Amino acid sequence: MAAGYDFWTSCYHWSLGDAIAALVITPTLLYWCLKGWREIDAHVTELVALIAGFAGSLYFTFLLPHSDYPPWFCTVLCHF
Amino acid sequence: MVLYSAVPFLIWAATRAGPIGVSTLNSLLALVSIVALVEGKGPFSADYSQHSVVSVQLFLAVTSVPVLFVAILIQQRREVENFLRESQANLNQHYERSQLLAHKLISSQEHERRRIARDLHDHLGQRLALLSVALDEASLALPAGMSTEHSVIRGLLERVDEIHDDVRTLSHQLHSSTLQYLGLVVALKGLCRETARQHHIVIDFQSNDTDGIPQEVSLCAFRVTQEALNNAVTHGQAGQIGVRLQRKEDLLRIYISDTGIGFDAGVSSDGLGLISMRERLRMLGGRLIVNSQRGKGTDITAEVPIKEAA
Repeated sequence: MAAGYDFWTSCYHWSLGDAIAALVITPTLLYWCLKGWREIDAHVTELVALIAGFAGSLYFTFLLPHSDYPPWFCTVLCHF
Repeated sequence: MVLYSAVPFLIWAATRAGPIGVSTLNSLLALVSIVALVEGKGPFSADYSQHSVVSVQLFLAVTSVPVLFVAILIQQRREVENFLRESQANLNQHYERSQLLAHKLISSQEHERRRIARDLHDHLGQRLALLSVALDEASLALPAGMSTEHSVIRGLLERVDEIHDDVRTLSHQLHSSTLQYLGLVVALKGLCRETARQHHIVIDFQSNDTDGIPQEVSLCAFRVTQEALNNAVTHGQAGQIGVRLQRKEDLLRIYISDTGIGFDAGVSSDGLGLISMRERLRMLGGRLIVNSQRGKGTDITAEVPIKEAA
């Protein structure tokens, strides 16, 4: 509301942000605290390749400039 | 579609690195997308407004939750598979142990039978023979006029001979020296003849060429037939039994059919005799097929591979 939005919009943003944070951060913390890495059966080289590929994809998606932003589904979803 | 370039890597992580891999990559994805948004870069940075924030949040929800769910399912499936594999290994181990135990049990039973048969034949049989000779001598030593004593001694001699016959039969049943020295066909013929004589029934025995059967297979076939005949006479009350021994290449097959009262093969559980027959055959890679109906007799087929056992 301080940013100039009405109560329900602020409430929506706040709830959605909390939910996403809980969905994304909580499993990560829990799995690392419960030593979930012991159940990884992939080889180290495979993990390195996975992380490198993922980092490359993040760089490609978020740091390189593209012309076709935003994707159509985001535009549609944002109107809810 | 550039936005989804990270999804294949998330799926890769779900299949190979499990939920921890997916959740870590999800966190990295969230961190990078938020930082990019704040710095005005990436697909959500058209304008830093409420739409961009909601877009990032929805993008993270759409990508991270399903992949994390898939990763958890894959992990659970893997755990179940591991559990099943361990259970299967344990089961196989126990099965092998029980097979070994059954093998040892049957071997020790054969050993014990052989020992008792030898004792019966060598000790009790010899003593009975000596008793018979002594009674004969006593009969000869008696004066001619003592007819009552003569008849008593003759009666005793007959009883001793009967006991001697029974001991010999029991000894042969426990361990057939005929099987050892003259082979399976002669031993089975003798077994059928002896059983028919003892129980006053008709046993028809037929066989084709069965040369070159290993001792182990012969003993198994003999014991199975012996048990089947015993069952047919004792439980089946059979008046007529057919025994057919057949060799087809590397397979020895024994058919035993009787005209007894039969039993319901689908309902009755195997008794000790049938279990023993099955175990003996299984030890040599063979099998037992029992067909029976109430009032319609019993057909037993025992098959033993000859090559494997040799």
